[in-house]
Amino acid sequence: MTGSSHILVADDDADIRDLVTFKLTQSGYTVEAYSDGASAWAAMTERPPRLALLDVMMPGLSGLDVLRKARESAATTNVPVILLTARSRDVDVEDGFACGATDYVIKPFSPRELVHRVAAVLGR
Amino acid sequence: MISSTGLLVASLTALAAVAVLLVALTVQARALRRRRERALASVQGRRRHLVLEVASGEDEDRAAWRELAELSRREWRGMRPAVIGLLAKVRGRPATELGALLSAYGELDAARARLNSRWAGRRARAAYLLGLARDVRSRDHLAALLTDRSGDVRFVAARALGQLGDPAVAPALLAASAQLPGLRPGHPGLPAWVAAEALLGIGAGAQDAVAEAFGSKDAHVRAVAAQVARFGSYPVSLTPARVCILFEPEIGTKETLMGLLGALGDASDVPVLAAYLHPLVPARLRRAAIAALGAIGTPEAAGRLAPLLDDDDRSVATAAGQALTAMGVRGQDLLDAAMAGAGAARRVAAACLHLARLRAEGVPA
Amino acid sequence: MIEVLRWVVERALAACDGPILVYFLLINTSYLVLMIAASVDFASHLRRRTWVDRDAAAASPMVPGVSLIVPAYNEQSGIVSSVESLLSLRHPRHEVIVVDDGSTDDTFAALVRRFELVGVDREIAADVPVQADILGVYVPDDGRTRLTVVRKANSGKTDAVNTGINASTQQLVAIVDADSVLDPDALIAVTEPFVVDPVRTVATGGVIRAANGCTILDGRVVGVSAPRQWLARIQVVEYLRAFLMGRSGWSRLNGLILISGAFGVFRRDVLVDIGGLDHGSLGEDFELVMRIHRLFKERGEDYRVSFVSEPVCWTEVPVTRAVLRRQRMRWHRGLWEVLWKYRGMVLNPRYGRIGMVVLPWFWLFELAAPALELGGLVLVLAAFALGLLDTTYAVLFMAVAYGYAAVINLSALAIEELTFHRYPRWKDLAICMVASLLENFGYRQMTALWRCQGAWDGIRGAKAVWGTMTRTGFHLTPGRDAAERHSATEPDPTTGADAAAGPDAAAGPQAERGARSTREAAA
Repeated sequence: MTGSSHILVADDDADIRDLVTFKLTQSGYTVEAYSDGASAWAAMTERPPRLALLDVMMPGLSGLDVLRKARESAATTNVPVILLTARSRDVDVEDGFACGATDYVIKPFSPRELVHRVAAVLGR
Repeated sequence: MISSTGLLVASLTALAAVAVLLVALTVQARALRRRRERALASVQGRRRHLVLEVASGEDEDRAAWRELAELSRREWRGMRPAVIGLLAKVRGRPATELGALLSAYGELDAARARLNSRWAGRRARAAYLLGLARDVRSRDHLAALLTDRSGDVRFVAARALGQLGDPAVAPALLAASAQLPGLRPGHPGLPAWVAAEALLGIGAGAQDAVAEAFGSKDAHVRAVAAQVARFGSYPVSLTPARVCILFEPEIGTKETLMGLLGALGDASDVPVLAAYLHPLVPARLRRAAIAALGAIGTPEAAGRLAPLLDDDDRSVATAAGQALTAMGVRGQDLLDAAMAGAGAARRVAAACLHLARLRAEGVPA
Repeated sequence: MIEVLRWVVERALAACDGPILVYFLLINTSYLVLMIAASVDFASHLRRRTWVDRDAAAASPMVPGVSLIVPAYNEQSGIVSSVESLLSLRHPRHEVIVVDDGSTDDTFAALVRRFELVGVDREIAADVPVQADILGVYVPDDGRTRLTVVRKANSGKTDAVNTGINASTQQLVAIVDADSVLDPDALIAVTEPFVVDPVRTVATGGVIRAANGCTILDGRVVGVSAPRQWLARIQVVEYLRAFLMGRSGWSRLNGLILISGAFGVFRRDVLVDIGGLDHGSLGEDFELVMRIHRLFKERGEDYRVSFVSEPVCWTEVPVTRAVLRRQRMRWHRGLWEVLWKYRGMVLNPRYGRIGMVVLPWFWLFELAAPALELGGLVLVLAAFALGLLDTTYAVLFMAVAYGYAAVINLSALAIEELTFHRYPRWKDLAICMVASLLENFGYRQMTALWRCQGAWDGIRGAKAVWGTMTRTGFHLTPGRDAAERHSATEPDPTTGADAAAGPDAAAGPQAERGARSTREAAA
């Protein structure tokens, strides 16, 4: 498997997708953006990314679904995943981590903080 | 014959005319909408990268901001929805910058003025914008709108105040969720979840107001206070909650209070909760008490739950079993003991243990 | 002989001439009133959309949990994608309960495979009486996915739903058809009234639209377009007028008595109080809401039944005349049965607006309409044939009567364009307009005949017979009418059931459910 160099972003909201893509690109990363879980998952299996930023609530396959699938597949099980969501209550955060998420960003979010977290996760 | 041919012809002509009119109206509406969307897309397309720069905090030298601040009227009208849309999704410095952009176009001044509008729709939209822009200057005016005669306006004002996050308005929010004079009985000024979400948005600063609200005479206010304390996990609320639960007549609020005791309470709360396990208590409250005892997790709590595995109400028995599975070793022991016995208790224990095992196995490494 | 006939018809014509036209005017004008009420509702709904943040509601823990009940019988081709899409609806706390009503095909096996189901010894409460025994309760073995599959012996949809109510653990219960495709925000939207007004709201209904012709991917409608087939196209317009506008209008006027069994949400405790769905009834979703109205009016408690106009539940509409016929017969028969059952509420001030306004309206303009319409048509044609009317007059008469109805349809289209405008292509708009006119030339008369037959069967108390709409599964035919390859088969007559009832199927805007089928869909 060749070394992956890109970050995968999946969010059905075009604004957030564009925003995150823009910010990460400006910070020097290569980004691939998808608007739904199914295409994001397909892309993840074909070309596992360095990191995946998944919105939890997407129609069709949700971020959690993609995360679970990723953890079950050998090729993607080690890809760090940051979940993006409006849900901030304890039980939902627990759910996310229980499914294997690496980190959690709550909307509305601070773009700068997002980049810091991405860097931190990738730096590990 | 009543209806003469002439009348029919006239009616038919009228109908035909109306039909043509409707078709024209429909087609026109669609054409206009399409044109507007295209124009919007083109305007937004050209400047989108500027907005993204500001919204992502990349605009260090404010060059993009300045460029956006110098658009023509028409161009600004096109960009406005994009700016407002992004404003709702970010926080921190980018949000401040976007808010400043709105201010530069006089949007915030206009919105503040529109808070006094005769039309409820205008007041509501204005409040929405001011909340998004975190316009602290409007704080008092928004607080006053909590008693507006329009339910929509009260709703938006509450949300906006939640976004502003100023603890000073917490008492006003709580008061607004009461049964206001002039409204029909059973209709509080604000739906409970709106007030609660707004107070949670304000955060820990609202603690004291919330703690005080437990003593309110109005059932809606107490309900909101209970929800906020429960989901915000405010330790200051524990004492007043303990008192409130003894007198609270509303079942829903009692349920929430039990949840609160479960989350923040300790061994001293077990006797109070255990009292609600009595068979004559409504099932809903029994289950809430069981969940709370499970969350507290002391040996005494576990001891109170074990006998319920046998209860006549199977939903109560299942709840008890589930609570015990979440209580670690202690609960496990009691469930094993039930398995060794016979009858209904054994069955419930087995089912709950099975589910717990599935859950444990389902977690990825 | 002809002379007698002529005389009879002439008298009848003179007597009815005015009343017939008046009736047409009244019924179409009342639709207009409903549409105005609906428009007001849509306008305020769309205005509020700016500041009502669905995201916040979707994330709030204070939103009450929902148990989605999916009764299933022989749904092997679509059940998995349906359940997947239901599980992924946006809602902070919802669960899906599939009740397998003794399917004889691979429905259960498909679910087991996909979700890795494992049997658990869970006791299902007996809050609502059920007839058949539960054979087993299954959950996914990750212990986390919020799906429960309950297998039971076959006893009909009503019993399946009641079993589902028993198995549900949340405060709210949503009843959804196994082949319904919901918009992602549909659940949050349809439970919103419960959040805004938790004390009074007891039931809400969502809007149903025709899925034929839409592109469906992964259990979601991703592209909306008009169906290929004219029968379905006409139904699109019909649903817009009667269901979207009609129900929204009634909801606005506080007179909603009909929530579709394909997409309705109820408070669980209320359902338990009234004993769940009623077995003896053909229009069980209608019957349920009427029972709720009666209960609350008698209790004197303030309550609310509302309709949410957006987002949407999509379902296949029949494309063959045979299936459509059975559906309409069943609906009208169900209507008759329920109206008759609750006749005590009519013009009874104790039941407020429902008794004084809504029920009489349904008797006059919903139940009696097809009979009166056909009667009038027959009379006019007879008069014309007997030379009592001249061509011009007859033609004009019918043109005005049906013309008004066509104008109502066009108004519905205009309102749709100004509010939700779900059909993006110009071609589809044109198709809908043509369908608006076409409905009145053949379709309307045909369905009127079937509706009369259905009601007559109900009055006679005849044994109910249905057909089945075999499923091809949305995922198999993207972009094409999923209904194109449908066939209808006459099943075995029901056994051991009450003459007036038989195995259940809901009356309401939904595709026909299978009862017993001997042929499966060609995969």
